[in-house]
Amino acid sequence: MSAFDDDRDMTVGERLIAGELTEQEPELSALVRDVRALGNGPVPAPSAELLAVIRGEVAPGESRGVPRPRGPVDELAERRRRAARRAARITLGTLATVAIATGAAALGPMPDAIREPARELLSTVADVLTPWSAEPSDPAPEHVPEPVPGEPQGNEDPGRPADPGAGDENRTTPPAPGRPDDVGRPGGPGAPGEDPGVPADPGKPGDPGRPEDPGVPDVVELPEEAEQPADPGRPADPGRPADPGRPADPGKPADPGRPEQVPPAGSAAPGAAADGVGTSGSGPAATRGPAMPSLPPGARAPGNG
Amino acid sequence: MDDLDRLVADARAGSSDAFGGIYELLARPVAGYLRSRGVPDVEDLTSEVFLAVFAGLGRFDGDGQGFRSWTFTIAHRRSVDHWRRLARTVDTVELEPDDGDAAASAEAEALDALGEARTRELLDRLSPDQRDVLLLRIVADLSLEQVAEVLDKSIGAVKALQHRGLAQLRKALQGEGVSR
Repeated sequence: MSAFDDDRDMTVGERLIAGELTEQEPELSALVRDVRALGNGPVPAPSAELLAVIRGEVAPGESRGVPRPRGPVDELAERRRRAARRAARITLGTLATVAIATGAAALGPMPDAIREPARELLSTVADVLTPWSAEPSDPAPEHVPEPVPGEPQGNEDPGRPADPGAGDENRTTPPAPGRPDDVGRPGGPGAPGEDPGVPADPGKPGDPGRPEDPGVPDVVELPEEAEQPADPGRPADPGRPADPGRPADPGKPADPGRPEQVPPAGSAAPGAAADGVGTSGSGPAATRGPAMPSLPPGARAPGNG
Repeated sequence: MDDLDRLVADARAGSSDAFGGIYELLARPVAGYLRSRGVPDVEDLTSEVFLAVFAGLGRFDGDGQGFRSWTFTIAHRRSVDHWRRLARTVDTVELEPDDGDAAASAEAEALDALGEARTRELLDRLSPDQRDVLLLRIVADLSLEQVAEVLDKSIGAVKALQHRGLAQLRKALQGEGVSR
């Protein structure tokens, strides 16, 4: 085919498409007319979204919800979303179960081995959720009441050291009732003025830094009480020496009326006479109990003659 | 300035009435082009095409002829995507072959009623590129340059495709005449 033929064919083609040459090529011209008729059908009804656009209900450039074909990437994203939703549901369920079990363990009739950790956990959660409260680990020195010399602090426990956290009114978690072992905890039963009936701890010495320790005035008052005569009708029991296996309570004031400790002249017990001091009930004298066994039969105390 | 130029300018300025006018002017050829390419849901896809046109109206810069070419570019790509999507879907829907037959038969009945069945049959004898070139030239009323732009081909390639397509149709028509 020559260039002339090409140009001629192109011209024929353009004329056919333009709807001409109806006489030279009637069949092809009719076909082109039928093809053109494909685009002359009725106007297709617009979708609801397109109708809103045509009515001016949607501004140009506004995001539209045209449904996109869902490809494999969409399927994968949907699967991931579903898995994340399931994981979140499982996590929420587990947290709810743990919360219910912890609450039941703390409040219900559970053994102490379970209840104590549960209460600790609840207390920690309450502290975390209330950040405006004072931190329990912070001793907050400004809240510790200043000791006034010569004035009793109301602490009835002479053998217990001063509680650094006592008097912390900002603590939100109330002390657990019925916990006698919670003596060193802030707000515990050992706080001043809260538990006057707690007995003295026999294993703890008195606070050396507290001048109001009740054990000191006992020693000071000792000479006055020692001057009182012993009951003459109640002689000391010679067969009852101090318990050698039980040292005297160092934090417990000695009873000044006991004749074993302040014997009158000439009526001292054999063991007490051998002691020679033993009046204050303080630790060093009292712990010498094992050195005062009963005298053998027939022996006499040196002071008696 | 023809009607399409004015409508495009007004639509870009935010006139919804102008966009409605564009739809009235171009919806028919777009739907005809999609129907000629065998798209079953012509109305839905036509609406998708014009929604895409509306979404990109702010980015368009040109006259009415350029707008026409751009609209058919969108229509052509949407129809290609539609057939690709349909090809993927057919593999997964193997137990419902009757639905496709029913739809095809219903559409064939409508085309027979309009005398389009033979036209489509003849167009189906062409290669896809030849058919696209002829449809865009005849139905969409685009120039050679515009068709080249829509199909992303050179003008020479479009000329060759048009020439071979017409020759193929002529040959088919002659064969029909001989067989008759």
